[in-house]
Amino acid sequence: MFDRSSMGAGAGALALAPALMATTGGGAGAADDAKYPNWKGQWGQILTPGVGGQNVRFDPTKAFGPAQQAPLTPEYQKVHAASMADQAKGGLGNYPTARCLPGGMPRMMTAASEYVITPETTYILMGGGEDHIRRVFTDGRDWPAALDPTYQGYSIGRWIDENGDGSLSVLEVETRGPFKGPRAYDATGLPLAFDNQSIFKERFHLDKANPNVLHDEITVIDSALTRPWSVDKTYRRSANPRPIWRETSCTEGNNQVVIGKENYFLSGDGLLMPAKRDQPPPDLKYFKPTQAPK
Amino acid sequence: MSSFTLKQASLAGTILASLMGMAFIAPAAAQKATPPDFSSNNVGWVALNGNGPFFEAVPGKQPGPVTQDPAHPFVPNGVGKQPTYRIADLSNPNLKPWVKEYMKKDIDEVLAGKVAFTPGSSCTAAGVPSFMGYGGPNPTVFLQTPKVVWIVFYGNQQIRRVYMDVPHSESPKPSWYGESVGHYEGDTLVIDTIGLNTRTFVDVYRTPHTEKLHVVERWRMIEDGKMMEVTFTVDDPDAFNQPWTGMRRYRRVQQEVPEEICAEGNRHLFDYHIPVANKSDF
Repeated sequence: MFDRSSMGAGAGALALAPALMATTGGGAGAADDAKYPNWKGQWGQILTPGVGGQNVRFDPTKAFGPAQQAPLTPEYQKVHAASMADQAKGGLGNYPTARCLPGGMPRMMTAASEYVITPETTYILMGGGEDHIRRVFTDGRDWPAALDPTYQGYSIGRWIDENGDGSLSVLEVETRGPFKGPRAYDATGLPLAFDNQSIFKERFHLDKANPNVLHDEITVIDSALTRPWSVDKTYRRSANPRPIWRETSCTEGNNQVVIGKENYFLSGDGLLMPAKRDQPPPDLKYFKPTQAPK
Repeated sequence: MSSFTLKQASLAGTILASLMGMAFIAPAAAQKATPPDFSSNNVGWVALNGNGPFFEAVPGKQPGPVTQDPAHPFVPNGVGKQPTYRIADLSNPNLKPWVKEYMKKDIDEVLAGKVAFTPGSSCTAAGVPSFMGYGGPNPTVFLQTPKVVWIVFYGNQQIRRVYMDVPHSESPKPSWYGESVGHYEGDTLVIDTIGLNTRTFVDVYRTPHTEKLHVVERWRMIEDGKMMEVTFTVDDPDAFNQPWTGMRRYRRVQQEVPEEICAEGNRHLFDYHIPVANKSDF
C-alpha cells in the first residue's frame, strides 16, 4: 500500500498535462477526447525476423540472452552467467517469472497491449502474461516521498504537443522504484540490479510514416549497467476490431514447485521429482515417519 | 498483502483532499450522467458482504443463488471463531442431478479435510459471474470509452472487456471471461456474456457450469451514486433447471490502488521470522 506522505495537490514540475476536466458522463467521454492520439486497439510487438530465440527480449532487434549485448557491469555479467549455468542444470536461475511472478518493468512491455487514455491516467492493459495493468499518472502529481515496492514501478507521464498543432502526440514517462525483484529482461535471467532502483524513461508516439506502428523509446538507468541502455520497441496495431486476448494463466500449467530456495518439478504422474541431477528431496521433518504417501 | 496502517489511513484524508481540489464530479451527478459515469476521478467500487453470502437474492425474483447449507454454517475469517468453508445447500431444487452429484463429492471431501480450492486460490481467473464474487478491500474499477468498457478487479489484476453496442460473434472460442457485449439503458450498463469455459465455478460454493452458460448483468449506481448494484441472471440449461438471479452491492471509494499480485501469496515464510517450533505438536 502506498505511503503518500508527500503527494502534492498542485501541478508538479513534470506536468504539462491539462488539469482534470469536470465532466458529466466523463468516464465515457474523456478518454475519447480528440486532442489525444488514437492509440486504440491491440498492439503486438514487432520483432526483427530471423534472430531466433524467445520473443520476450528487451532489444527487439537482437536475440534474447547474451546476444542482447547488454552493457552489464562485470559483477552483473557474472550474475547473468551464473543464472544461465543454473538453468542449464535444471534450476530457474535469475528468473522468478518462471514461478508465475510478474516480470515487471521492463519485461512487461513485451506483452500484447492496449492503451486506455483518460486525463488523469493512461492505462496500459496487457494480455497473455503475468503483468496485466500498468498505470501512467498524467494528472500533474509530484513524486511521492515514499512508496511500497512494486513490479511495475511508479510512472508519471506528461503529454506533449510535439507538432505544435494543438494535439497531443507524445507521452513522456518516467518510472521509478523501489521495485520488487529480482527482475530480469528475459528468460535467461539477464539481470537488473538487485538494489531495485532502476529508472526508466520512455517516449511513446506513433510512427510518423505509419499510424499503425507505435514506438516506445525506452532507456534503462540501472546500476547493473555501465551506461544507460536505450532501445526503440515498436508495436503493430492489430487490424481486428475485436482482437483475441490470450488468457493464459501461468499458475494453471506451471509444474515448477519452489520450496525455500530450491525448485522441484511436478512430474507427469503427479509426483514430486528433482529438477536437477542428484538434487536431494525437500526437508520432510514435519511429516511423521509413519505417514505413507497416498 | 500489506495492511492499511493507521499512518496511511491518516494520510488518506490528505490524498482525498488533494483529489477533491481538482475538478471533481459528485457521486449524484455521476449517477445522473448519460451514460452513467462509473469511473472518473479514481473512483472504484469495493464489494460489500465480504463475510456473508457473496451473492444476495434479488427481492421478488426466484430462483435465487445457491445458499449455505444451514447444517454447516459459514464462519468467515476475523470473527474470533474457527473459520469454515462454504458448503452449499444441495436441497436447492434448481440444480441438475449431475451438479448435485459433483458438488456432493466436493463437499464430502471438504468436510473430510480437503481445502475448498477455487480458481482464485491458484490465482487463475474467476470467470463470470464469479467475477462479482471477488471481495474487498480491493476495488473494482471501470474504464469507460464509447466502444469498449473495461472492468478491472485490482485484487488479482483481472481484466474484463465489454464491447459496446455490437452483437456477439457467431461462435466465440470459450475463454475464462468469455465474450462480453454491452449497452447502456439509461443509468444502467447491461452486459451479456457467453463463451465461458468450464474451468471456473459460478459462485463461492464451487457450483460448476457448462459452456452453455449465459450471464446478463445490469450495473447501476444507487443512493445518489454512493453505491453500485449489479443484478445478474445466470442461465445454463445443462446445469440449472431455470435461470437464476443474484445481486451484489459495492460502496464507492476514491483511492489509488496498490499493485496486488496474487501469485506472490505467502511464499517466503522463512523470511518472515515466524517462530519455529522445535518439534511438531500433532
